[in-house]
Amino acid sequence: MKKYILKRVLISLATLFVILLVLFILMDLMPGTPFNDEKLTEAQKALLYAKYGLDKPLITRFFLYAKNMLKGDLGVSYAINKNFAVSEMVKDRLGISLAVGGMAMLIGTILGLILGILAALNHNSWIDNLCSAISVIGVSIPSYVCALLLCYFIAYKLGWLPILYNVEQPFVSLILPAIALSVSPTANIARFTRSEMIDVLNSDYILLVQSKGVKNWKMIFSHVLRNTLIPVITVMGPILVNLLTGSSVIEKIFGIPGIGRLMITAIQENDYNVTIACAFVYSVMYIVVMLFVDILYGVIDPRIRIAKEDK
Amino acid sequence: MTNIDHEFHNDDFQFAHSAGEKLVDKNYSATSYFKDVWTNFKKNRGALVGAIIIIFLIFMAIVGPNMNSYTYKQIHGGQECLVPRIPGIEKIGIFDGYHNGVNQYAEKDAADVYYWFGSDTQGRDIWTRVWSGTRVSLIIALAAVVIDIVIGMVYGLISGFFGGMVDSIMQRFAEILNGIPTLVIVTLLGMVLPAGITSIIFALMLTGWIGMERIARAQVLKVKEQEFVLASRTLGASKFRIIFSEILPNILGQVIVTSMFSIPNAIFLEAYLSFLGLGVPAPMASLGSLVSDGYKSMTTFPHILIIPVIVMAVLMLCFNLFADGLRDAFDPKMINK
Amino acid sequence: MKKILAVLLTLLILVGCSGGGNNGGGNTDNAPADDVIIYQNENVRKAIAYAIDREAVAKSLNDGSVAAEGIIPFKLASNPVTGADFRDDAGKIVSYDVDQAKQFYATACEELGKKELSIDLLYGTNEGDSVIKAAEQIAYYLEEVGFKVNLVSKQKKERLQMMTDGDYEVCLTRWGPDYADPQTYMDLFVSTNTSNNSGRYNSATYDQLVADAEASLDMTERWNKFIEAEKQLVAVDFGDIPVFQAGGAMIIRPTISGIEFHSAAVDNYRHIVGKDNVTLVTNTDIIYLDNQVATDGTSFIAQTMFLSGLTELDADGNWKLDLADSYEVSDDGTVYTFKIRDDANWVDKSGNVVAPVTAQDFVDSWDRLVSEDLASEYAWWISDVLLADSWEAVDEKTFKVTLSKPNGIFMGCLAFPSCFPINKAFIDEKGDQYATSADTVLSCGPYILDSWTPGYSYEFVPNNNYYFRSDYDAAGTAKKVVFRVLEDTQTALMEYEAGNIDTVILSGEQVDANKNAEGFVNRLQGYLFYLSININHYE
Repeated sequence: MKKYILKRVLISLATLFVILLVLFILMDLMPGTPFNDEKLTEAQKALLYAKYGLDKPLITRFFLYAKNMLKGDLGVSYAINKNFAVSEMVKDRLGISLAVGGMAMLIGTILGLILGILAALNHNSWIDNLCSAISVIGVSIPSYVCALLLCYFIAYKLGWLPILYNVEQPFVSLILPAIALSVSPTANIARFTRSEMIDVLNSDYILLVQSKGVKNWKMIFSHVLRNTLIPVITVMGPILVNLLTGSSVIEKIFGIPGIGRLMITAIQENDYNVTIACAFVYSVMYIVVMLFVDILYGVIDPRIRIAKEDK
Repeated sequence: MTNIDHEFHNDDFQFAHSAGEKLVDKNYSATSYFKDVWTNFKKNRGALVGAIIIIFLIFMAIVGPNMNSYTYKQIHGGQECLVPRIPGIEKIGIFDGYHNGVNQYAEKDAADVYYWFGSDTQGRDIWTRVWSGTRVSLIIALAAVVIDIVIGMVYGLISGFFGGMVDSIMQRFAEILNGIPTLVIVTLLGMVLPAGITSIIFALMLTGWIGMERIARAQVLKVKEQEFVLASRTLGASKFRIIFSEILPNILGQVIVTSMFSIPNAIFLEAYLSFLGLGVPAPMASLGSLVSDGYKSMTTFPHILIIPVIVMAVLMLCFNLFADGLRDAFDPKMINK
Repeated sequence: MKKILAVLLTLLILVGCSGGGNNGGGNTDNAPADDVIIYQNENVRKAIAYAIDREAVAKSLNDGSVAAEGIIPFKLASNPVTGADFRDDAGKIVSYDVDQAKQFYATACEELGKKELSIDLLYGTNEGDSVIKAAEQIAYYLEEVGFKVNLVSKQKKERLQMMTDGDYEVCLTRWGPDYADPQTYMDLFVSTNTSNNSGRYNSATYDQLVADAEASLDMTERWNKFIEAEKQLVAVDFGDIPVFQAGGAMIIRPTISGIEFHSAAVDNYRHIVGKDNVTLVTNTDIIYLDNQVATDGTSFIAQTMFLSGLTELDADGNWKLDLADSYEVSDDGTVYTFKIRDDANWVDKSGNVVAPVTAQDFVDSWDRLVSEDLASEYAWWISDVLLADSWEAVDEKTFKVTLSKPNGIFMGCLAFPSCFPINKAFIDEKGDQYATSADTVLSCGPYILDSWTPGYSYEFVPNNNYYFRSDYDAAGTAKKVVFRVLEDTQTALMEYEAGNIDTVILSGEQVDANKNAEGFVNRLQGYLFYLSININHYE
């Protein structure tokens, strides 16, 4: 098992390195420069290029960047907050984004599991239809429309929660964004749980458990749920990453200084260092989540563990 | 031992039917796999309704934009933000062009003008724009998904079938591509390529196939050790033949189902891009761009938002129902349950 | 099932063919092809100029934008003698006439030997909703007279790069004036300005008129030459086509007042009264606190809060002395001598006096602004706008500037943040960290930057060592000014109505429902949007 984890970690690191290179190349292909402005002359642009070392060849810049990155230096911003250390920019915003994302994931997982389990246990009944309808509506309406509706009715009309993000009451003011963001994970997890659970409920070993006379609730908790959760965990990784990407829209609506919004602005402003840093943070999260899911999967499901150790 | 009677007696067997009826084995005509699927699918009412509505929406996407005299980019100065008004139906008090108790049409000197779904903030007919937007969204989604299937399936088949080194390399490659946020790839591609449907399809495709590839690979791994593949291999079938004529048909169901689920995803991603200003170029409309345009008017003229949202939600809902039904139909385990 | 798939595929192909015609735009890589040099034909440009219904375009934007009447916006500059607005003197020199446009189009087609003319109209997708809308509107009006229009949408940075490279046909672009004089616009289109004259409009007559105006010492003659030059560019040569002037609809809480909008200079938020704690909305964050490197309005507004210049602008855009106690002008109007206030001090974030503001701070500032190392976008401000040849510190509090020739806008232009003083010792001490946070700037203005949370807000508190502080307090000026960064106008409006913020910027969609709200204002901005036509810039 240890050997397997080590191998996976090494592969992940290599993958990240390649991703960084790809990002660098993509940046180089991006049309325009961070310094395009109506009021900047060509000579001044060249000066700025030299000042930030952008006139050097791609590969030199890449290794310089990679070297600095190991020291925790992600360069400076060229266009968004000029000369700001990118590591500072990212650090401040990542926390908020993770908070919203984490809350949304928590809400999504709990609600999704409840809806999915209810639907599966009452397969083909009105409860099933209701749960399915809720989850389908969740994936049918863009999150920004949901967000604005929530904002309008819950915060503005009823005044139950703050409309916008507020540093002074971070938890309360992040509830609404988290709910808005959790709509799609809720729906996805509910659907996945439902179909997996129906599969499990129809399997032979559950029939065996039932025939042994194990109590219904005990059967559900110790046999059905465990076997349902294994595949559900695998989809949670990608859902989590998607959710963080999707948060840029929510961040814009609720005025949250988060990393999603930063990345979009960075791309639009050709702010290379910020774009690379934000994109790379997403990549790291993705790779780490996938690695974690992979290992967790091995822990939960003995069959996988054995199969991997055989290799 | 000797007292055991080895001989048959007349009363050892009896006729089951004393009346002497003829016994005929029941014969069932052989049904193809797809016919089976179709039979199962028909039983699922939700999926059937979904399929019918999808066909209706496709029909409207083709015919709708030409059903009145407006075009999707025709601007009518002075007739902005009119609410829906439909001849005939207006008499019963809905879709009558009244907004906050005022007949907007009369107010804007357009008493004999009808916008069935109203007009947007530039005085363009929403009916025409919604249906041409549906058309654009469907094209984007279908094209992206078709390409996904082709690339993802072939990639997954090869990777899963050959295994070992080939699999390792191919999986690493997919992982790298998957590790870069979709948004970064899509945005950067949007900047490198000229803005247009083709670019969006290309961008969606570039990351979309990975999901398909995973499914295909997993299915191959499941199927490839089974007896019928072994049989084929023993009979000396080429690898190409095993992949495409033994394994492929067995995973096709799963692949089609996955692709049906990824259509709504593609439509959604396009909507998301539109919200960020990276969607289809103006004045072209897609459901996503209509929703994100309408978003800006939600608190003032909600009809500009609600109509495309409804069409989009219905489309999503139906694709989901359809895909659900299809999955159940393809999965023999789900039959009769 | 197979049938369904077959149907779907067939539909896809059918629909694909019918929809495919719209997305071929943007292919300008292989210039100069036959179809892109059409803009050298005057009738093509005339057809474009006459085809656009500017009133309708501005009305559809609905955010306070107005139709352009020339390349110089309204309320930019006033006649130095009579005080009349430039537009009143120059009159309306653009017109909308579909019939004429169609005639020009027909003539152009004939002259070029083509059945149909196609235009690639470039515009920016991340420059505000009004730009996208305006591009759609313009495309529509051009198609009405017969052009085939391809809208080419690009991100701003790429759009500007394409203009620099000459890789475009027609581009909807804008210019934000830096100072209240027609020169800020007229300079853009002279043939020698390769940075801004992207289309390479080249007219000897125009160049001569602008040169004459700039050389003229007679203010009235200068003024009239500019009027003539504008006519030459817009109504004779049709070199660039003005479309609309940006507006800015917003609601300001009726209890507060004192926000001074300047269409040709930085808005002034120093004198807000009516409420002690004011929260204002900004839709972009500060980009740079360094007043000599910043280029955007948001950063400039922030800088005028905590920094001061020799002069500042009042509500009507007239200058008044700020850091300078008094000044003298030589008889020929070329030498200015400023006495800097004795009580002007540099103050750190906690409100402690660090050093006095001296004449040397101005010398350092101007030296730094023009230095190559800084590569400031406003390096030309000193030589081209202020017309300053040399500057020196006569003594600790006396700053002397020598101009190349008399300059009527000199005093007003000193209110621009780029030429505000700097504290060199502090900059040297902070190095790369200078101006990256509230802790790494000094103030010499009425407020101190108390905090800055990038992407969220920045807050100002009174600078009690500011020399006019007692006047400010007597007038009831706000004790705390917070700028909140909000990009979404809908939630911002809800937040305003809930009473949490005191101003809100409205999008065009929100105007109709809110134009009767108390505190609604339709300010006019100095930005003029025009179509830059690529006449000669093909390599």
